[in-house]
Amino acid sequence: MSVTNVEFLFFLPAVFLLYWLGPRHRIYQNSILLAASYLFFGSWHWHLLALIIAGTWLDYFISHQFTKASMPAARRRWLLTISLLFSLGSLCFFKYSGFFAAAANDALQSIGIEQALPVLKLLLPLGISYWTLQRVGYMLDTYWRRLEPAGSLLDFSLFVCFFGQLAAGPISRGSELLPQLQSARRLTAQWLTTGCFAFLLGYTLKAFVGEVLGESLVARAFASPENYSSLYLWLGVLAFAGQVFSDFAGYSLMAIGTARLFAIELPQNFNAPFISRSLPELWRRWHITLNRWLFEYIFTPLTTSRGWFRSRLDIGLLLVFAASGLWHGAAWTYVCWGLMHGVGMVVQRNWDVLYRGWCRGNRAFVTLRKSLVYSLASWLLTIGFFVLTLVPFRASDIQVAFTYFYGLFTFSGADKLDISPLVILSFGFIAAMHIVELAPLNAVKDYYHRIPPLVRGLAYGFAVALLILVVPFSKGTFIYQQF
Amino acid sequence: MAENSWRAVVILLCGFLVALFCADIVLGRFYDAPAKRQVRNGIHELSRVPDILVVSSSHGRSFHVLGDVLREQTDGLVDLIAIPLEAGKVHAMEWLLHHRLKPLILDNEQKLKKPLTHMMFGITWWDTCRISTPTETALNIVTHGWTTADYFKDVASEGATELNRNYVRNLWRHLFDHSALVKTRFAISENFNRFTNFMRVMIRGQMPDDEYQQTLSRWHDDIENGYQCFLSDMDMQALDRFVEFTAQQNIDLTIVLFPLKPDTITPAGQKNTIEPFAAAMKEYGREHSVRVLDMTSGLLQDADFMLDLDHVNAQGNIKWAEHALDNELSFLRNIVDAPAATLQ
Amino acid sequence: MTENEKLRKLVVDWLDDNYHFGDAESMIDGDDEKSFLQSGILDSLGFVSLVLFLENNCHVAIDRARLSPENFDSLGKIIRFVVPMSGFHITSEALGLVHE
Repeated sequence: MSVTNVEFLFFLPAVFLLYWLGPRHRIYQNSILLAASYLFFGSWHWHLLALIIAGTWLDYFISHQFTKASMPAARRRWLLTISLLFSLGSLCFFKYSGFFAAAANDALQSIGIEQALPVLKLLLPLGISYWTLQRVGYMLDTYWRRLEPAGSLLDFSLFVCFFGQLAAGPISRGSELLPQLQSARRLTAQWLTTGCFAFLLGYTLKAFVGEVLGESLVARAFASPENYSSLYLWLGVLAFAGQVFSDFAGYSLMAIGTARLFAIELPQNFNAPFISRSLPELWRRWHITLNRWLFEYIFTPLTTSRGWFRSRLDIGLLLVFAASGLWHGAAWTYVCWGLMHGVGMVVQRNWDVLYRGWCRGNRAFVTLRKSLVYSLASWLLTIGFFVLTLVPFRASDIQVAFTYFYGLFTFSGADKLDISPLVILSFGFIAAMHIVELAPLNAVKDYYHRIPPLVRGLAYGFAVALLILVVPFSKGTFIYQQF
Repeated sequence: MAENSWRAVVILLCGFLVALFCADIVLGRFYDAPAKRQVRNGIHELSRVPDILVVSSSHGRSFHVLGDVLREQTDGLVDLIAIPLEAGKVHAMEWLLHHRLKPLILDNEQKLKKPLTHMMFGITWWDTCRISTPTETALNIVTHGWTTADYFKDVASEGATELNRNYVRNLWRHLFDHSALVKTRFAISENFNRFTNFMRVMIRGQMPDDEYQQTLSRWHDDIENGYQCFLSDMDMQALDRFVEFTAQQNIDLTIVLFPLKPDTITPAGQKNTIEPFAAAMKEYGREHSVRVLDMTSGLLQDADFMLDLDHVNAQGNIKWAEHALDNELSFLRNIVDAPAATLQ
Repeated sequence: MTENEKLRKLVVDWLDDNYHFGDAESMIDGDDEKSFLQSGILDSLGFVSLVLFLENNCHVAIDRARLSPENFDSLGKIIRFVVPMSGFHITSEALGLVHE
């Protein structure tokens, strides 16, 4: 089960009622949420519950050992290694053993050894890529003494697998989520309205915008790119950018909305990424919680360490984005996608250093940098680059990706573009979500909140009525849950 | 009023519900989506013992009309219950017979001391086609055949899966059976493919021509190549079990090959699939002493079918029922001896 | 000039020289507690560069464990965290030339 499955429509109200109708006490509330979370995870594959519970207990125990002032540094490191081996080891085993065994077999085959390693087809535990990172973050924070360990095993167990975020994040920091779980929560009108609003907005994005774009343009263009004109392929990849955004930002909003119904605030995961004017900005706006994790726990420790990596920011960037690619999926297309972004970040950083030099010599460059022309050009370059890197991300294999790129830039003749009004509406929806985030239009959001509740209620009602009619019957799966 | 007071929440919720109800009522006036008979309606009626029980794919809805006409023609003397299983398939219908209908039939026989005497089985060539993905074949059993116990048993052994999720999906849909919005949503998916087509039909009164031609050509392909998958072992073995059950119970069985839209059958389709299928089924009937009636073509015209090119529309149903009861199915009128009281 | 003022000038000059070209003060807008990350004054990449710059020019060694927004996310936080560190001093050359 996931927040986007039909069972959830029965599950969520039941847990909501149990949670709020019982005593307002931390232990009761957390027990209900934990039981619900284990049921949620168990509904996927109950025998893998042992994995998540064992990992939780191990990390809880080890994180408490870190607080002992008398413990020698070597022993602390050793304990941390055990914890990381267990969590990252399980992740690698379930997610990457097939990929690496296949790659090793290919290599061995080239020197004449056939089928040397067995390629296991394993069932991926629900959300393992997400809760592993959340737990590793917590362990490093407690190891570095930046965070007090969780007060109780109950709180910590819930921190690891709260059902709202279990399947696909957002990846929370211990400092964000644990304090909220360590005291009783109270339902306010604000929690309820903001929760429902986030859930509804997320559902609209995911079930309507993402599905409409996906089924109309994306599937056809990527299935056989050789059959379509350049214009169609450009639209196809733009629609895919829209689809991935709607799918994942929509899911994240549904998760955030779900958590708010239990008076818990999860971190924001998307912040109008398509208005970014540089790659670093893009990664601060797109899948925020994954990228800040990669920068906090890999890039920063590495590049500020006393070792070889110190100050080698470009190498750090390449490493981080290769890791990001591999995290997204055990396939060469994802690694390729990650490396493209790593190179993109390196180019951007060096361009900035070079440009700074020009700025020091001549203030005209500063003026140019702040001009509309520079903004527009950097926006086009950033978004254009991002959209193009999505080609290998979506293509079924590298060969299809090359065919797609070839088609994009050969500017072949135009075939009939059959674009339904719903596709235009979907693109419009995404555009509107971004435009209100631009500084001059921020006031629109304030204005929205001043609309009388009756009018807003009517608008929501009509919106839901329309959604009932126009949301396509989903055949696809949630893109980001596969990671 | 405070922006986020409970009072504001209540007002917002009222606005929300008012808008939703209004939309539902307005849509109901504008477009009257047909209420669809499903397996559960038929099973619900099985608290009585009919004279004829029809098991069929979604075409069973036409048999329901046949039942109405039959009751009217015999002054309520002959009772027919039709059980339409959406998406059909002989093996799925046979599953339904053995898991859901048989216990009820046997139970009725014991309690009401009235055995079931006649059954009809309505199929087309497609119902004997093996579909390559095994989950798809079982989908309609999950959605329409399962009980809550079947669902929980499956979740306990398999976890929540894409397959068993269909049971919950149908349950959710069933909760809103009376909503015009929900009914229209499903009508859009089943008859119009997508919302924009639905709007076009509502405004212009017809499907866009290219869309119609595309669907039609898909039908042509399917029927022309149907011979590659029909009469599959899986479905024919299920048919054997079906026939075996009726023989054991002394039930008179009639297999009806249901009408298809003439437009969807090309000469190649007729030659490759339709004719060989009818011939094979007639042969099967001879071998197993079962009445097989071929009604695939001859009576209904293109205008008697719905936009989905598959199901017979309201006028077509009446036309078919009246014709069938005057001809091939005329024996149904006489299967019940009129009680003395009505003879007076 | 106190040590606090020196460090403040050093960081503002670095921000100006590397990111905001004369606009750093106006972005900070008199509020030394303003969050760098939230107000777009510095991103995580710039944050690493700033740490490396401080280590190289203030003669301090920052424990990796303490590299977190709690210590670096505003001018005030940086000053409170870095100035008391052992070995802290800013050379006059550093104050004259602040870019990477």
